Amino acid sequence: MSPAVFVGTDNWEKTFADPLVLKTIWNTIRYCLIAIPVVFVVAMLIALTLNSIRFGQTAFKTIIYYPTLQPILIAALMFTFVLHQDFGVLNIIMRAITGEPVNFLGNEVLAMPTIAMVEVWKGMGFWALLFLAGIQNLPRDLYHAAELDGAGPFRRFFQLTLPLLKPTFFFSVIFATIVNLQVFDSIFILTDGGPFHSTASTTWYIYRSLFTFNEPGYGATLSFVLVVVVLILTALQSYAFQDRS
Amino acid sequence: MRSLIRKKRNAVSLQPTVPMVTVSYGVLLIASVVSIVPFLYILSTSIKDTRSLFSYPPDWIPDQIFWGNYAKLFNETSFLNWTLNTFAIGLTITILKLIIDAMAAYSLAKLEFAGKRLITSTLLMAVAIPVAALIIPLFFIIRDMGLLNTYWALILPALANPLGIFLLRSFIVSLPDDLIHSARLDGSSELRIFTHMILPLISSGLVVHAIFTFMLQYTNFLWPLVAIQTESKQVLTVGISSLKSNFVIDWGLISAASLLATIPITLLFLALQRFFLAQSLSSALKG
Repeated sequence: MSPAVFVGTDNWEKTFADPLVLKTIWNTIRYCLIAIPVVFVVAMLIALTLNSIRFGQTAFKTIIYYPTLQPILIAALMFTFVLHQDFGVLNIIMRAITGEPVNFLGNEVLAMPTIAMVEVWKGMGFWALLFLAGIQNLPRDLYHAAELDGAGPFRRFFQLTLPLLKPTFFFSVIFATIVNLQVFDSIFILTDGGPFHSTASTTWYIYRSLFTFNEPGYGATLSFVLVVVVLILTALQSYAFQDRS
Repeated sequence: MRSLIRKKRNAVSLQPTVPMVTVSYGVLLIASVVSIVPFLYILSTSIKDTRSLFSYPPDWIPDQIFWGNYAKLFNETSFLNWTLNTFAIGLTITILKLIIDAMAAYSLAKLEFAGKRLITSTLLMAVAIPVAALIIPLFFIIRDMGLLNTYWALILPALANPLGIFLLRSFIVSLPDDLIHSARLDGSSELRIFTHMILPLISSGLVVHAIFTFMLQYTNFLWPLVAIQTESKQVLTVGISSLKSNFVIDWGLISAASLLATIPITLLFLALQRFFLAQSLSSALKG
């Protein structure tokens, strides 16, 4: 290793002139834009249904929360058994319906949404229980009043539950963004950035810059950008929480 | 009579209607199936010969249990080493972190010293730094210390994570100051107050911290992947992932390894179920 030389803004210019770097940033944003809304909608649906049943609530909670605990790596490995063209569960179903297996991970359009599904599968229990706790903490009087005024369940959900849960959502969106901006394990296992770098994330690039590309300077620049983005998100979060209390 | 019926309806008004409950059970049933099927499928894959994996229609429940995948896992791979490494490293980190973080939390919560505010805000900043961004600087620091490919490379960086300090501090801050003052007046040393008074009072906080620290280490992947090169020194997650990089992928082997890797967390979960479902959420909400 040669001694460190100050290269000024050289690394920055080179890093952001690299189309692969720009692509990994876009891919990471794309991943977050798919994974987070989908997991939140699914989790909200589960939370609402959990809230409306009495018997078996604990059993359903336990089962749905269970995948959350597993390492992402194991979740991703399990997904290879769901997605594999020959023996994946999903493709056995696809073959039964359409006669053709789908190459979920070998397809540039499908690969990233498919990887986002790992996060949905693993995260839905966590967010569902978090939203359920939020719902159960809401003042019940409001709901009684709303029902007396003739508001049906859908109206109650859209005009009471959702607005009242805004602080929970705000916290959740930022927390989920911070975690998902660092997506790596599932990509490393399922596609290793392919096909044609369509699933190459920022963290994947940072890892590769160290070992494969042998350009840790680019990776370090990208790391710094990641730190700044996450610090801004964290500041936003703590600002909002101070505001509330 | 009418008003009585109305009253009764109001009293039970927020009870969901029958169709809503039916739909709810339907949704929850689907969610449960989706949650659990991958686990069952790798269980099924792990107890059949990999060749029969490719038969269509699939053989969901094999007629005869095939133990070959498990035998191969223990005899021909370093699976046992990876498991032992994971537990040894995870438990070492957990114990050291409990000691360090509890002491730091006590001093930040109840002691006065110069630079306390500066230290607190610096630690808070450090909490916010994403792990992925630390990989490159950490790699060079650990390499220059000559610790790459040793267990220290995994243990030392984990000890520096300050999140647990804030978790424990929130438990200690709520303890009354008078308690500590009166102990000091009785002539107890600061260390004695810490070990005999503070630690027992925050035991539930220590349990939460211990579980989270161990789980975090157990699920850790990126840093061990970077820091450890020798195959037999690896932790479980990286070791299992290396099975997939063989030229001919042995799916039976991977399913057996994945299934076994879920067992420790499953046991921990079953033992502390209520605790997990309630505590993890409240602590996550506190951020």
